[in-house]
Amino acid sequence: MAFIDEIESINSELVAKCFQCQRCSCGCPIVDEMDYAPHQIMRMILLDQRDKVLDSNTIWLCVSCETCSTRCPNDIDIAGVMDACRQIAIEEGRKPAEERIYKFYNTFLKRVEAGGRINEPMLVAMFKLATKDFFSDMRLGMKMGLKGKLKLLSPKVKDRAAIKRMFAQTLHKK
Amino acid sequence: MNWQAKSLPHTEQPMKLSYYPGCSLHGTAIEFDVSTREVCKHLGVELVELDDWNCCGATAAHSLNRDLAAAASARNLAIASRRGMPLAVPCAACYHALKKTDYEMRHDADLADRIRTEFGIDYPGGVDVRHIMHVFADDEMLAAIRQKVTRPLEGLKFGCYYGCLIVRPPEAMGNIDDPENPQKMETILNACGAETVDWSYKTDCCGGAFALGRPATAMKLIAKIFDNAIKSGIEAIAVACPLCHANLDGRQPEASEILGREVNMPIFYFTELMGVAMGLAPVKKILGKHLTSVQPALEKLS
Ligand code: SF4
Ligand code: SF4
Repeated sequence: MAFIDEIESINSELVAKCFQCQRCSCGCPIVDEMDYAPHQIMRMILLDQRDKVLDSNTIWLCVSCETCSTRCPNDIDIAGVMDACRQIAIEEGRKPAEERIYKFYNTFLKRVEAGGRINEPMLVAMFKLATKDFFSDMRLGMKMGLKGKLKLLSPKVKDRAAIKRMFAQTLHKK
Repeated sequence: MNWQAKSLPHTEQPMKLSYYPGCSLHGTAIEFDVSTREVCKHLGVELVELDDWNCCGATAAHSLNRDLAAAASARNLAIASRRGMPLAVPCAACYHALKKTDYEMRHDADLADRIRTEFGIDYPGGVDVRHIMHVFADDEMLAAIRQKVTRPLEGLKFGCYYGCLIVRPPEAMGNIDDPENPQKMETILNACGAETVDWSYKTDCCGGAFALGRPATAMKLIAKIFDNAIKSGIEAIAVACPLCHANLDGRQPEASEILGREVNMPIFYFTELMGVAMGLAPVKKILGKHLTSVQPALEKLS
C-alpha cells in the first residue's frame, strides 16, 4: 500500500490536492524547530518517502494547533495527517524522534485508562517517573501546592468496562 | 461571512443545559468551574453535570489513535444525547474534542459504524455542543448580562485570548466565530463594561499541549504572546481555556527571562470577570488562587 493510502485509511485528508503554496508552513508556530516544514511533509508523503516522514521530528513537534488545517486553500487537514503519521509510527514500534513528547501522551492515556479521568498531580508524578526528570518545575509545583490547586484525589468513572474496551480496541489491539 | 451562533431556546424557564466540566475544572482550573457555575446561577441558567463523564482524551488521544479519541468523546456525547439538552463545556480542549467528534460522527459513516460495533457506543451525532462563551455571547443573554452588571469593568484595557481550540478548524467548530479574529469574548466583556483591545496574537498557540512534554518550546510561544500583548497596551488578559490559563499565568518568570523585561500580567478566566462585574462574592473569593496576583488589577477596577 502506498504511504498516502495508509494515511487516508486512518483519516481521509486529500493530501494529493496539495499544490505546495506553503501557507501551512507560514502559519505554523513550531516550524523553525522542525526537520521538515509541514508543506514538505505533504510532498514527501506524495513521493512515498515513508521512513523520512515517520522518523522526522516534525510529526511529534506538531502541537495540533490546527492553524494549517484552517488556512489550507485545498481543505487538507494537515494536523490530521500529522496525527495519522504518529499513529502509524507508534503502531509499528518506531522510536519517536521526540521521545519526551510521546512519553507525555502515553502517560496521559495510561492515567485515563486507569480511572477514566485525569488527576493532574498524579499525571505529573507519573510523567516524572517515566522521564526520570524529578527536579524540573519544582518552583511551579510548590506555588500551585501553596495556592491549594493540587487536589490529590478525584472521582473515577463508574463504568470502567467501557473505558477498558476503548483501550483494548485501540492501543492494546494486537 | 456572518459568524453567528444559533440562539438557544429561551422559552424554558430557567434555561437548562447539560454540563461537562472535564478533568481540569475539577483540579487546577477550579476557578473556571466555580465562576462558570456562579455566573450561570446568577443568570438563571441551570447546569446539570453529565453523569459518569470520562476524560475527552485531549491532545494525547488523537495524537496516538484516532478511534480512541473518537470513542472517548462519543461516550460522553451519547450520555448527553439521552438527556436531550444542549451540552455546555467551559474547557476549550474538551469543547474542541467533543465538538469535533460530533462533527466527524455526522460526516464519517465508517467511523460512526466502528464506534458502534467495536466500542458499543451508539452515537450518530446531533448533540448541540456549546462552548460556555457561546452560551453567553447570544443576544438575549448579553442583554441579561448587561442588566446584572453592578460594577462595570472600567479602568483596565483587556486583551481577549482565544488560543487554538475554540475557533479552529472553523467548520468542525460550527463556524460560530471568525477563526482569525474572533469577537465573542469581546462582546461579553464589553457587555460587562470592559474596554477590549485589538491585537494580533489572540489566536496564536500558547503550546498548552507541550507544557510538560516540551516546555522550552511552549515558553517561546508564551513569550511571543506576552510581547504582543504588552506592545498592544493590554493590561490584563482574559482566557477561556485551562491550558492557556496555566501556561500564561504560571510561566511569567520564564517569559520575562526570554523577553528581557518583566512580565506581570493578570490572567483571568472571562467568567471570573463576569462574576466580578456582577459582584458575585464566591467568584471574588477564588481569585486568590492565581499564581500571578490579580489583586492590583482588581484595585484598578474598583
Ligand atoms: S497549505 Fe495546503 S496546499 Fe498549501 S502547501 Fe500546505 S498542505 Fe499544501
Ligand atoms: S497543527 Fe501542527 S503543523 Fe499545523 S500549524 Fe499547528 S503545529 Fe504546525
